[in-house]
Amino acid sequence: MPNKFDILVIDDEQVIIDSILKVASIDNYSVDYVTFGKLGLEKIIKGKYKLIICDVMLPDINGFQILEYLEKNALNIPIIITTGYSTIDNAIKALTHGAIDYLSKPFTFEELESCISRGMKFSEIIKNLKKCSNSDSQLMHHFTPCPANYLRFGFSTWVNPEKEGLYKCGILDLYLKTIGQIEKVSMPPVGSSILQGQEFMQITDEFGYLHKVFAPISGKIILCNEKIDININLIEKDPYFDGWLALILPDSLLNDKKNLVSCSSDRY
Amino acid sequence: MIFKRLSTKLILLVSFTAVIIIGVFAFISLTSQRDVLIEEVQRHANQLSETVKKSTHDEMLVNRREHIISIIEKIAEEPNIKEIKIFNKAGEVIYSSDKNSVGVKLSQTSENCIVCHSNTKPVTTLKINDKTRIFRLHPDSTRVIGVINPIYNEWSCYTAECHAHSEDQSILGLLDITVDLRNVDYQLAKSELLIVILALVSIISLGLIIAFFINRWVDKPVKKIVEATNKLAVGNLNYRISSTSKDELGVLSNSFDRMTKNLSEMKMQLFQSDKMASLGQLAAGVAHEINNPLTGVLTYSSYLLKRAKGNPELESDLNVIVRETKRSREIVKQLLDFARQSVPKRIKTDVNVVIDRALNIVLNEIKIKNAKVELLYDKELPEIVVDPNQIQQVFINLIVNALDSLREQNGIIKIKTEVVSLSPKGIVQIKKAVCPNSHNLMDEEHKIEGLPSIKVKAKYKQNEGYIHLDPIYGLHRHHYGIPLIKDKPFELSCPTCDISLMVNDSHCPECGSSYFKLTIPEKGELIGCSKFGGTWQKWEYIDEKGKSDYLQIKIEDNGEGISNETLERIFDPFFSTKGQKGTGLGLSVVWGIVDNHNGRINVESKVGIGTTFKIKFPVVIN
Repeated sequence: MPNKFDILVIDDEQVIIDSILKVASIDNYSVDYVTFGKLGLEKIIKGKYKLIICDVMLPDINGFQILEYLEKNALNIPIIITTGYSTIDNAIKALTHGAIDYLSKPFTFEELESCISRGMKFSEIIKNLKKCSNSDSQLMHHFTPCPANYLRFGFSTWVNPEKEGLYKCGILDLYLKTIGQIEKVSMPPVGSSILQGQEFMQITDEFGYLHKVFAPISGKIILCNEKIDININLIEKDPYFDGWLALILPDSLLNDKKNLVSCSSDRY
Repeated sequence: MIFKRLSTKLILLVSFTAVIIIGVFAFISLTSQRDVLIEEVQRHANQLSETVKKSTHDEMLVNRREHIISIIEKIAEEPNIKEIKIFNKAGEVIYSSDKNSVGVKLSQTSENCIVCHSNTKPVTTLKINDKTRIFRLHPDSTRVIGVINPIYNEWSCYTAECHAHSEDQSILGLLDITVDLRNVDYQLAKSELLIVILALVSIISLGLIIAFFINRWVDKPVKKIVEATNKLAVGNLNYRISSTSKDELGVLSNSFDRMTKNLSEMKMQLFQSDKMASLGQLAAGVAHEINNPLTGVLTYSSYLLKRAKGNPELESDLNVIVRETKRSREIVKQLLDFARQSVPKRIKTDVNVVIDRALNIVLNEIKIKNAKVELLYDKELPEIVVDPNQIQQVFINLIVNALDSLREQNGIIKIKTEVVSLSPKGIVQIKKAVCPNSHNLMDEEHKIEGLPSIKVKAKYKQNEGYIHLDPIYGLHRHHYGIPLIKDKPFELSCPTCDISLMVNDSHCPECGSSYFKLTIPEKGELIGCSKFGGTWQKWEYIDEKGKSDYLQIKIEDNGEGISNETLERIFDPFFSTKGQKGTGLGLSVVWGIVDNHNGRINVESKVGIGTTFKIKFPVVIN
């Protein structure tokens, strides 16, 4: 029994559901919702949702268990994790277990809107991918996969060891394809410390959406790519080489590496 | 109870020893004194006996009995002489100072006669000791000494007119004198008494002295320690003994104080982490509960704001709601962040293994350079808690640098690992320093040997300027921004609020100039000589910890070396001598990683001879 809903919200707080309903309806998305995790899972299995927005703390099971279920059963439905208990650990946990995004409560209308737009776009890309065969050329048609020797953090950023223990980082093309054309990038200054899973930079796109990007590793920013200051389109043109963002001196690589995935094992 | 006390036991033991020593001494001394006295009396009695014999000799020859009696009686008048008797050959008393005994006849077994007549054949000659005997006349009378003096037959005797003795007699009779020993005995008793009194006095005074000092040196400090342990047992961790003594108990007290201090610090930490844990739980609960309603407020207000575009009045009002809700969000977020401060996670690592791995990675480069690598590993190296990947990078960078500096021939790289014990001076870095008003004194911009320096305002006479103090405790590579004259003290103050950092009435123990004081947050205070060129510094908090162990890795090459000008800048980012080949970041990465691990790195180099990098990581137990 296929349904007509675009988005499934799993949250036990009515006000959150109402908020999401409000935002989604503006952009003409239909929203279904449940307040229990197990019910949510049933709906996921039965229905064909384009996007799931799931809270971590639910009355019965928690959001991570739902995430795990999706991961195990390779249900390629993009899921956004939201939580009122937003810690970096939770963010890392969500992003490394297949969530395409992590939205901490409370969020603004705009934050939710940009998040949903990214999610819907992501869903569309997956749908198109499924339609096509798995050949690389087809894949390239939708987005450029990250080089196999790179490491990625969730679906947003990549890192690659450079000379002398430094790591270069940048944005995955898959992420870039879910947002509009980049208008502005705001990076933390050189010398500042970042933590893995932290929302370390923001991208403003042509539609005025503000997109948050998660840091792939913890460390100190040694250098920012000056070329993108001159030509911002470089990020989209060459996301894995000339469009890199920053050079990072990691400070707990051992731990961070556990949360990084080799790009060679990508499913998409 | 009193017998269980240490002091009582000690006093008893010492007194017992004293009694034995004094007793033995007294016995020996009394015995010898008695012998001397008795010998003297014996000699005296013998002399007397000879005197009597000789003074009556002539009278005997003419047989004038009255005269003889008179002489004997006269001599016997001497107070100590008890009796003078003359026996004839048959044992009959013929003369005596005591008239009653005249005519008494003694048997051969009587004590006067037994000396000679104990054998069947009587002895005719006697030694001096045999002539005398000491005895009591009655069991309860005083002791007397008796001297017998045989009167031998002489030519004048048997040729005398009285013809009382014939020529063939050898012994004519016996002179027996008894002398009272009352005086001697009295003397001896007096000596005995004196020695006993002396012994008693010395034992008592010895006991008292020992008691006094044991009380002072042992009892009181022990009592204090016992009191302190009791206080500790009931949970008072702030109690201190504060002993000034330097003896073993003083050391014990001080180490006790240190222990309680550490305990209280540990307790504080435990308490703190407990507090943090419960705070974290609270924060998590609060965050979840508050964030949900806040989400409603924020989304709806930001939605309204979007709709209110074109209505400036409404827009500004809604802006307030959105702004303040965002502020609440930040507060909750900070609360959460505060409750779960994340620290980089590190693991126990064997540095030797990491070096081996690093060498493996650069194996090709080593072969290309044809370099020889000498490894001098300490096999007993303790494991340290580090990020092995990062540490490996440090070694790779340093080894690659060393390889680059090597010449074509005979290139050698020596890598040595060891544990060194170093005093904090010259090692410990001051990472935070504040003025009395808590203004930060650290200057991240101005670095000394790569480390942020301590910036203070200095005044000397009319000159004012800034001095950047060396952040390494005990080193003095200060950078002076004002002209100063050697050996002249300067006045230091906070560059932010100008409060003086000088300590009133202070005198540097080395030169007497006043000293300055920097507050090191959570780590006490550092004081130092204010004289230009003065080298005295004291940081009690660190000094108290004494020497600490460091794991040192020495990477030495015999390459081209680095000039002094270059040496100053090698850790600066983007500084490179390799031109296009390097990024200029290698050594600053090394520096960053070592610093991240609370380690220290320093470099020594001589152009044409080689370069040595030394890295030290603190060895932390547990």
